[in-house]
Amino acid sequence: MTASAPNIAFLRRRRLFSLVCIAPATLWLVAALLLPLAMMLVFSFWTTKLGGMDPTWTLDNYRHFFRTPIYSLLFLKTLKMALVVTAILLLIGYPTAYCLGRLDPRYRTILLILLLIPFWTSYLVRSFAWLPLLGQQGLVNVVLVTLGILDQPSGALLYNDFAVYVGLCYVFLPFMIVPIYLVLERQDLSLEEAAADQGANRWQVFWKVTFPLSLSGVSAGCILVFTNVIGAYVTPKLLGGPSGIMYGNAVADQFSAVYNLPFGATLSVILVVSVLVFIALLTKLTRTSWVDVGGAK
Amino acid sequence: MATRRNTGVSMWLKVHLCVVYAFLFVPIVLLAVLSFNAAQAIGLPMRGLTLDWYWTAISNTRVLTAFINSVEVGAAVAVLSTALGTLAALALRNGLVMRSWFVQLALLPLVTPSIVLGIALFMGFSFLGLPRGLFGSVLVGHVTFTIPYVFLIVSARLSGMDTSLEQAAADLGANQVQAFFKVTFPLLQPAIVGGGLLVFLLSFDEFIRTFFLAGLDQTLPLAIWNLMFDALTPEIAALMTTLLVFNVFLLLTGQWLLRRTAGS
Repeated sequence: MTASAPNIAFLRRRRLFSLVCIAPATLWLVAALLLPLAMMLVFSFWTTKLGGMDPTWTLDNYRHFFRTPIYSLLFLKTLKMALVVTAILLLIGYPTAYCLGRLDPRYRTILLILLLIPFWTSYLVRSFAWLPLLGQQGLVNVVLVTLGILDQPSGALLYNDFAVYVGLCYVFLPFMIVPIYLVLERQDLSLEEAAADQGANRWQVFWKVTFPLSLSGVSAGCILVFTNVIGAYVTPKLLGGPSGIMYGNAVADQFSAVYNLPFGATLSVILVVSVLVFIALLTKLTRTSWVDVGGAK
Repeated sequence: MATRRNTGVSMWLKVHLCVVYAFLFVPIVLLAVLSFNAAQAIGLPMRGLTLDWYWTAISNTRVLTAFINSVEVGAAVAVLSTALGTLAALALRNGLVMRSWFVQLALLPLVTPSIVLGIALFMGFSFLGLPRGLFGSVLVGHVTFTIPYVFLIVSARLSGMDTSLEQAAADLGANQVQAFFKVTFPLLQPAIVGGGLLVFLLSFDEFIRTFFLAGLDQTLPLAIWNLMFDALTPEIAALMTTLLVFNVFLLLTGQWLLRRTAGS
C-alpha cells in the first residue's frame, strides 16, 4: 500500500476520532464496573466491625464459608441446580431451536415474534405466574382433581425445590432457545446436503455437521442459563418457600438481614469464580469463545 | 429451497415445538385471565369477570409514583447508554488495537450474575460516595449493564453497512463530522432508536440490580415486589398484565425499527 501524504493525515484523524469515541464508554465501564468489582474482591478479605468494615486483610471470611455447612452445602445444592437446569434446557431448547430454524418461513416469523414475548417479559412476572399454576387453587390442581388423579387439591406442589426447578426452567428457557436458533438460522444448508449426498443418513448429518457447527450457540445458551440460575434470587424466593432457598438468597441476606457486608462480598466472589470456571471449562470443551454470548441477547 | 428446509422437520419435532410453546404461554395467559377474576385472591375458580382490579391497580398512588420513576430513569438510562454504546461501536468499526479488550470489557456485565453486579455496585458506589437513589446509583448502574446491548446492536448494523456512501461524502469534501451527520447517522438511526427502546425496557424491568441500588426510592418492579408480600390479590395480576402489554408494545416497536434497518 502506497499512502500519499494527505492519506496519512486522514488515517491519523480517523484514529484520533476513534480514540475520542471509545473513551467515554471505556472510562464509564472502568469506573462503574471494573472498579466496583475490584473493590468487592478487596472487601471480601476484610471483616465487619461496629459501624463499618475493618480493613485488615484476612482469609477468615473464606474459612467461614467452608466451615459453615449452611453456606457451603447451599452453594453445592445451587451449583447442582444450575447444572441440572442447564442440561434440561439444552435438551428442551435445542430441538425447539432446530425446529424453528428449519420451519417454513411463513410460520417461522410469527413463532419468532411469539418467542420474543416471554424473552422480554420481566422475570418477576414470569416467576410469579407459577403461583396461580402450582398453588392450592391453581390450574394444575384443578386439572389433576378433574382427571381424578388427586382426590383433593394438594398443597405440596408449591414451596419446595420442585417448584423452583419448574420456575427456573420456565424463566430461562428462551435464553437457551434464542442463541442456538441464531446460529442454526445462519448455517449453510449446502454442507448438510453435501453430507447427505455422500451417503450420510439423517443422524450422521446431524451429529457430524449440524451439531458441531452450532456449538457456539450451545455454548452461549449454556453460559447465559448457568450464570442466571446460579445467581437466582427472585424465583426461589417466590416459589421455594423456606426449604427451596438458593445461594443467591443467602448472599442477599448478608445485606438485608445479617448486615455482614464483607462476608457478602466473599460469597459474591465465590459465585463469580464458579461462573468463570464454568465458562472456562465449557468454552474449552466446545472450542468456542465466551464473547459469543454477545450475539445472544 | 423451502421444500428442502421442510424435510428437516419431523412430526416429533413439530409436536415438541407445540408443547414448548404451550409451556411458554400457559402461565402468562393464565395470569392475564385471572386478572379479570372477581375473587379476592389470585386463583381458580373464576367467580365472574370484572375490570375492578385494573381500576384498583391504576388508582394505587404508590404504584403510579413508582411507574413514573421507572419511566424517568428508563428514559435517562436509554439516552446515556445509547450515546456511549453508539460512540464505542463507531470507534471500533475502524479496527482499533484495543478492540478485543473493549469487547471483553463491554460484554462483562452479560456474564456477571445480576445479584453480584448489584452487590458490587452497591458496595463500590457507597464507598465512592455516589448518592443512592434513582438519579444516582440506579442511573449509573443501569447504564453500566445496558451498554453492551446498544454496542452489539449498533455494531451489527455498522458491519452490514456500505462504506462507499461515506467515502463518497469524504471524496466530495465533507469532513469527518459532516460525513457522520449527513450520511452515517441517518443510516444508523433506526438501530439507535431500536437499541434505545430495548435499553429503556431493560432498565424499566430490572429488579435485582435496582433492589440493591435504589435505597428508599421505588421503581415499578420494586413496588410490585412489595405488593407480592402484602396480599396475593388479582390486583397484582392486573398490574402484571398491564406491564406485559406495555412491554410487548415497546418491544414490537423496537423490533419493527430494527427489522426495517435490516431490510434497507
